Amino acid sequence: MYSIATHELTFAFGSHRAVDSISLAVPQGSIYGFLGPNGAGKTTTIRLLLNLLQPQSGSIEVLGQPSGKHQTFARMGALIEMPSLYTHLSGRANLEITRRLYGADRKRIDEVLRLVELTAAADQRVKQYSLGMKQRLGLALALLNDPELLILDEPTNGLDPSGIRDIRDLLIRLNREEGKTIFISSHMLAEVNKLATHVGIIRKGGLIFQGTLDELQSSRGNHLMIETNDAPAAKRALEAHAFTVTSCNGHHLQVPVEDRQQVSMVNQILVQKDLQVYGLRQEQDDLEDVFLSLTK
Amino acid sequence: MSSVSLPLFRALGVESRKYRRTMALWLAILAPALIVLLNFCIFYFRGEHIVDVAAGDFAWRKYGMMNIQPSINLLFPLYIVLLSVWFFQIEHQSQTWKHLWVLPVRRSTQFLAKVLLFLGFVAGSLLIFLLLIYASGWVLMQVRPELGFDNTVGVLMIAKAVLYMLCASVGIIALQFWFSMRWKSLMAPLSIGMAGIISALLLSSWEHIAWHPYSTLVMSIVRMANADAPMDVNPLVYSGVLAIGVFFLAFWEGSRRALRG
Repeated sequence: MYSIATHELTFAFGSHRAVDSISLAVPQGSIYGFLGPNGAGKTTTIRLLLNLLQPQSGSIEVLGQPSGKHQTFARMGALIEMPSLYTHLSGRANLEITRRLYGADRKRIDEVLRLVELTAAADQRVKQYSLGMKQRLGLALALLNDPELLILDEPTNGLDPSGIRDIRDLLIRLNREEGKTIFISSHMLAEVNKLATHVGIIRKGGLIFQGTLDELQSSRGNHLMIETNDAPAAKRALEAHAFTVTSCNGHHLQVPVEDRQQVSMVNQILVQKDLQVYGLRQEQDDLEDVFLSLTK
Repeated sequence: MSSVSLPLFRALGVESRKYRRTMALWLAILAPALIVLLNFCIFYFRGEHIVDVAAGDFAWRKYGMMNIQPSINLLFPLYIVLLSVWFFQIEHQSQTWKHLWVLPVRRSTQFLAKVLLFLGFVAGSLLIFLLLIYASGWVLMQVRPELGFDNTVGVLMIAKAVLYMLCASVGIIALQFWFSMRWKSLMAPLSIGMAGIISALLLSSWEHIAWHPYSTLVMSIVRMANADAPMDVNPLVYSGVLAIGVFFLAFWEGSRRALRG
């Protein structure tokens, strides 16, 4: 059962394909991290999911309904980039405006204020809020109708580390304790890695990976860390034998390897060139490397 | 209450909440007050040079026209241009369209609520304008009895002229409403509005001026003063038809426009 399912979703700005045949499958009850570098098509995809843009081809189902049904909007909450707030009004007045349009219970305002820890500042004008407070108020707006599905576009943008942790803890709590499905876009793998159960990676408008976080982790490769007396010479020698040197600093080199035979071969090449090998250490690529290699 | 009217009332209530403590609200109150205050001062200090009772002038008629004439030529259309810009800047500056359009209230309902509130702002301003003219005229009757404000000739004409102002302005209201909703930058609706107002003034002696959408205010008062004045089109009918057409066009275009940024 998927909370969001798209099929071959495509959208172009003129001749530029911002979203190219994307088929998303966001399982109900998951935290789905939608990852990609800036300009990859994350925000455009989210705008398509929310019916703010019309796809040129493909289909979208949100909570089992074709996208854009206003009944569906009653069951979901969204925060798109910077929160949309009337800065001349207080935080509470902003919530009241959205609450009335949802037709939600009045007591929900105090509940969401508590949830995002803004009760003390609720009656201040939003123009006096810090960026983190505005971001939390934006999240409170998205939570007002107690939605089944939350769609959040880079909700930690501009936050300090403690603000990022607060939002992360809140999202994990909403997912685990209240069973909400959360679709969250980000360009920071490290951030998504700490909360997502599923990941989709987008590059130049196309979905290049989709699966659980475990599946992403199992796709990690190995590399060899080499310490030698002359790294540039070692680099030349290895590249002459068709190895790829991914980094070369001072006395250290990094070389991707597939198996132990290749480790042995690297050692032999260096020794034959009369280079001193002080250390050979095999390491697994971290997720950041996987992400970077996928999105490069 | 029907399923259509309940969301509309809800959206209307929400819209009116947004404009508390805003420039748009202050403009709606202060603009008519400023015009009446200036004319009150002129009448108080130099009223005897304006109203020649012996020559058959009527104070209320003169006072009413002194307030209404500059308003229909320039000030009231300018007020509509400025009000519409401020009215929509609240959404553009806060980037709230993307939030409003993912709420479970139809775009048509939200659009209609905005139209009704904007018309309400203009009607409210004109009501304040009318009441202030009457109140200040009454004060003049007390403090400058020699000006002849006890003669009520012209009192009803003022109310009729203000009602004509409202009806004749709906075309301009619809145009400026659309431009201000359409463009994030305030320069575009301001420039178009100014160009419309100035060109209507410059072309005032043109035989087909009645077709100029920004001339309907002046034309309606001309028609009110002389029902037989030759005109290509009835300005009140023209303004009403224009308003309906432009509001439909604005909704059609706005609801199809992609929200990219």
